[in-house]
Amino acid sequence: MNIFIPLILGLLIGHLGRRHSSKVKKALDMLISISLLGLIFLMGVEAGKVEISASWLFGASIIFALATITGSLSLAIMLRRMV
Amino acid sequence: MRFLYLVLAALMAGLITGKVFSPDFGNLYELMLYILILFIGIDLGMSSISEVRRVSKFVVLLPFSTMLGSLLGGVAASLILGISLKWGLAVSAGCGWYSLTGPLIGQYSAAYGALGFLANLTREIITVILYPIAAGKIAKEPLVSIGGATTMDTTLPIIRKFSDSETAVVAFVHGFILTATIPFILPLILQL
Repeated sequence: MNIFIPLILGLLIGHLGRRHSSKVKKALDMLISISLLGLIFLMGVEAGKVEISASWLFGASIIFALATITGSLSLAIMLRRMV
Repeated sequence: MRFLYLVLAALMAGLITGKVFSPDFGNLYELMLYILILFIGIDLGMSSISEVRRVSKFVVLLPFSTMLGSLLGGVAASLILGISLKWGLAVSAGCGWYSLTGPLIGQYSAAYGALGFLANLTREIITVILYPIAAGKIAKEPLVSIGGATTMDTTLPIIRKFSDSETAVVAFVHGFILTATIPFILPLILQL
């Protein structure tokens, strides 16, 4: 399924239900929190199932992840200052 | 802060469950993601429409700076690990999109395909842990860049939870532009 279907559906429901937003927002926040924890648990399950055959691969993955995050964040902060 | 501990606990419980029992939940992960995106859509729909209109020059440029920064990080990682620049750039061009990066690189090299998969999966996991911690210390909009392409789906809920509706819109646009760009950039690098 395309990610846009639930997003657009949600935007429509949210826009139509704007009158009751104060009541709904609190319940929605709770629902988001609970389903977020469920999603993170399932994300962990999928990651835990990955068999790492070599310690080099594990170490290299962490180095790559940290280096790419640092690079992206550094440029984003510089961009924020420029624009 | 209490929610961050819950996030870490859920992640650890998932990692242990996956490692020990290797359960097959079928499409549950996908289903859960769509439900969350629906909730986020409702939340955004209830927010002021002016937030969506405020898509600035910064928001349009942010995905490109994320890609460039990721590639520079890939160059640095290649130098540290002593691997070919081509593979380093390919792994880093995935920007967290592990399900695409692993198989695409895997067509050329199984070992680097595995690295592409795992490095981008690790980026997603680090984003889940790092965004809540750093959200109070670093400006929320530039911080979106750490999630790379995942900010339009899997890490969007955590960004929304620890920021606001406006940053959620920035995250979605950021992830969307990267998702549209990566399938073109990654094969180009692999052709080098």
